[in-house]
Amino acid sequence: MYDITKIRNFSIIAHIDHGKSTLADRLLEITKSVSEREMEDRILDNMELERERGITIKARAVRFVYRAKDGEEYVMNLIDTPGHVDFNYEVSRSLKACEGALLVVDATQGIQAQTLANAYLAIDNDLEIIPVVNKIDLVSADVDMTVREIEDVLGLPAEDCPKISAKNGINIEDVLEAVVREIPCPKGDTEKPLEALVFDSYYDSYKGVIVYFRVMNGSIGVGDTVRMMHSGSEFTVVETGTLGALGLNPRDRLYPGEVGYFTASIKSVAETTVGDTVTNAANPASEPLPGFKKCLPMVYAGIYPADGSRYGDLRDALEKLRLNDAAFAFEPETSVALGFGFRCGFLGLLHMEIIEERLEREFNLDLITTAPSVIYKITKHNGETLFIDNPTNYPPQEEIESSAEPIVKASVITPTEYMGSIMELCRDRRGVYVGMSYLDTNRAELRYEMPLNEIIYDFFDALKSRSKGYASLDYEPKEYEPSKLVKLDILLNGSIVDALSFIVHADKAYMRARKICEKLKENIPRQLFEIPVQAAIGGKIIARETVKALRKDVLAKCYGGDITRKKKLLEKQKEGKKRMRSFGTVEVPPEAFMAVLKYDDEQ
Amino acid sequence: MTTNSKRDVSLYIHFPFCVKKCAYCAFFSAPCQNEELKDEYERAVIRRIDSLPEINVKTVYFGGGTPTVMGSARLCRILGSIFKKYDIESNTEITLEANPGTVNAEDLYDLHSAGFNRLSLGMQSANDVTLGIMGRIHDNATFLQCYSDARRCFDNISLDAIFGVPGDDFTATVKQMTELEPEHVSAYSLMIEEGTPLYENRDKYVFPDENEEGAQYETLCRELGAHGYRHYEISSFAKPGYGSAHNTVYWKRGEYIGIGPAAHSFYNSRRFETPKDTQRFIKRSVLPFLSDTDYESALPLTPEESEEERVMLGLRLAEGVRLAENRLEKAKYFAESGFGTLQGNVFALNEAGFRVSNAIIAELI
Repeated sequence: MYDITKIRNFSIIAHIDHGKSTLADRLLEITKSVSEREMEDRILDNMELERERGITIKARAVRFVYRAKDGEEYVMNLIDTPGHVDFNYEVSRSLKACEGALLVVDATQGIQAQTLANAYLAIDNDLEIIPVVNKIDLVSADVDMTVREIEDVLGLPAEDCPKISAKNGINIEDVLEAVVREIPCPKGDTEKPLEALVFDSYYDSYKGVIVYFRVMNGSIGVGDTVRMMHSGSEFTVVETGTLGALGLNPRDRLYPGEVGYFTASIKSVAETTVGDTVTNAANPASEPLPGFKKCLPMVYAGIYPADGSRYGDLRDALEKLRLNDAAFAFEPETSVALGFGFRCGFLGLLHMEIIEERLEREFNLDLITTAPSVIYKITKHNGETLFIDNPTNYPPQEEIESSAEPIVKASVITPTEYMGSIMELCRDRRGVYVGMSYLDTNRAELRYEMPLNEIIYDFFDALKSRSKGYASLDYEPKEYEPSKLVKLDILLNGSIVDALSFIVHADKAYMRARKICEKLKENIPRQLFEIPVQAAIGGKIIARETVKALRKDVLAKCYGGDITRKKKLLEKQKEGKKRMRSFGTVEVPPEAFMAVLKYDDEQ
Repeated sequence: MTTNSKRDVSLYIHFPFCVKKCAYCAFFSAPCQNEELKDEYERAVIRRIDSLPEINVKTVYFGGGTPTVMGSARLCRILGSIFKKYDIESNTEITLEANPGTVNAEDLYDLHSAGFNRLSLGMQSANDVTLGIMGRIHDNATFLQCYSDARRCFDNISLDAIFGVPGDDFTATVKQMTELEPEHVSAYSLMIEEGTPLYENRDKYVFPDENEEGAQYETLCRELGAHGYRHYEISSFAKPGYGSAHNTVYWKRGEYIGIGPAAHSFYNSRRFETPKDTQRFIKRSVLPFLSDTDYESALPLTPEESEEERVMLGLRLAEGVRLAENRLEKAKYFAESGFGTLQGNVFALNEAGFRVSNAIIAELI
């Protein structure tokens, strides 16, 4: 029975590991939407990688029914959100499909950077926010402090909010009652033209793209011809329905306030991007829903197969991933050093890590990844403006009139004892101090404006190492600012290795150059000849190391004619050689490329 | 009967016994005081020799372990059984490995009289501290006594030496060898293999780096060269006419039959090993030789494998190895870079090349 007043659409927002997925599990369990056995795997996070990392990468939604204490049955649509800064836009679209949000805060940790970022997003989207204090049964929980923090920092009344243990199923019903009581029902008009907001889509090999949406006005049903108002694509709806905990539940038509899916033999998620508005082609809405943004990659890196012969496999894998990830972009590129590979664009560092990990794990590929780069804005003397995401395309220094790099607003929340060290780190990474505020007596939020290229290098690792893992980071793009940039080239045996070049702030060039030469020296095995390792800016050498020539290798005895050991040794050496990348006579193992990227805080 | 159709095959007899495991030893050998076991082992080896196919015995080598732990009488009887079965020419090289501290003058005299004509002595080092680290049972004085005992009868003695031992600069060892003037010297670098006491204690020692080891090897080559030794194989040095015929069979891919647990054979184009189990070997010694090895599961080498072996082993020799056309370009590059010589199709490493032979061989095959 469709009754808009008995619908509640909400999200759960939280910092990583604060218990979002566990709470979602409990909600489904207590409403008997799934049996305990089916609960074994978490329902909402259904990618292998997500389960392992305990984070939600892509939004999913689920519908369930709750019989409240007032005796009425309510239809609950829980829309999950990605928890990381890289997916901010997708989070905002998921929130747009809701009237309210549960803000889960871990009572042992209090408010963290992503709690803040997500809460601000929810406030920005005019959602009713219900704080939920989780993990109250842990010895280290400080419920009162957490409540005070929520009230002080976010200005949300929290005195009477649900205080629960999602893990052990304590007070879960309070959460559902609060949802029914405090989150308003959706508004909408069945008679108006169809307006439905796409908040997710994924590719299914049988049905084609499955589009997740929330109906704002009008209705959508099987046989309708619908139009995506931004992409302009039109489809005839093959199937519509709601989203059950264990799968799709087909239904002929969906009405305002409802959350569901449709399929229409769509071949690529690129045609149904998150944030687009679905309308009826015959009776279209006059305007798309506000707030659509095309997701643009902010971080670029080259990805190459460690074994050059697997180029085709890598391409197939990237294509498969792109089917489900409209924000991920790639195009073929060729490196003198690494052969054939791809230039890939990511929303941010986590996005990049996830893609890399899925390529290695799900597609069993060994990869060599080049240093990540942001998009630099270069103006040449002749007035031409270039956007450079690949050091290879960086114009010669003498042609450059001015250069600029993207700046982000970064927020770091840290226990106060690590503040000094973190401020030093931010300064060192060219951060400009904007302000700070204490969340409580022990923790503070530091705000900086910082070049994105400093963050993508190894900032996150450094932050974690300086705060024993306690500091959390969030950032959002701000704008381009003029910057003194140079391109640093690395030379092995006198020739530039293009895959190792990168763009860096002039003041940082010398230090980075020295470090990279040292790391390469450590990671390139001695060979038959001495190998100079140099770093240069526009032909001027600024750092140099030498990989000494191999002096002697092991002379082992062939006891009693046993040549198998010797054979094995040479086999191993040959195997090792296969992995190497040759530059003229120099051979470089993949580890050397990795080492250049690895975090190494000089303290 | 030398001009017959019988194939030339070398014999290797393995003795899996020693007084005490050395700290670096990862080979199949264990301390043995059990005289009955030694008797059984002797009978098993003799039975196995009796069951060998008709061959022309090219060389004989008794190795281990420490063969001399068997006692000279048993070794003499085993050699006797070989003489009984085969016609052995008087100039056939018959080597016995011996370790100082396990043979006296009388033993050596008996062994020489029984037909052993080459003695390989495990000197390893002239430095007592170094010998201690290696877990050897002898000190240098014991070795010197043993050497002088051996010199009374043996006119072909080879000394084994190990370099790259923590805290040892190897110069004393090199000096002692040039003074004693053995006919032959074999030198190896110390390998730290998993499962050995030295491996377990590796954190206690500072091992010489590649540069120091390189320098030790250079000293060795220079000094032995100056004293009339020919560096005929990567780790072997010999006075003219005294190159090891048995080891040369290995390098040149001649056939050999290994007897005893863990002994390797190269026969009928197959390489195979007798399982590392002394009791099993004794029990199965009534069976013909091939039925007690991994012969069945060892596939004949493919032409590519054979060719790779030929290059890998041949490059150990100073005389070098003939290369196929497709490898000549690389060989030329190495020759021009100072690692060897290329004459026609024959590529040979020089001293600089020997030092880094693994790297070069890996490039060539």
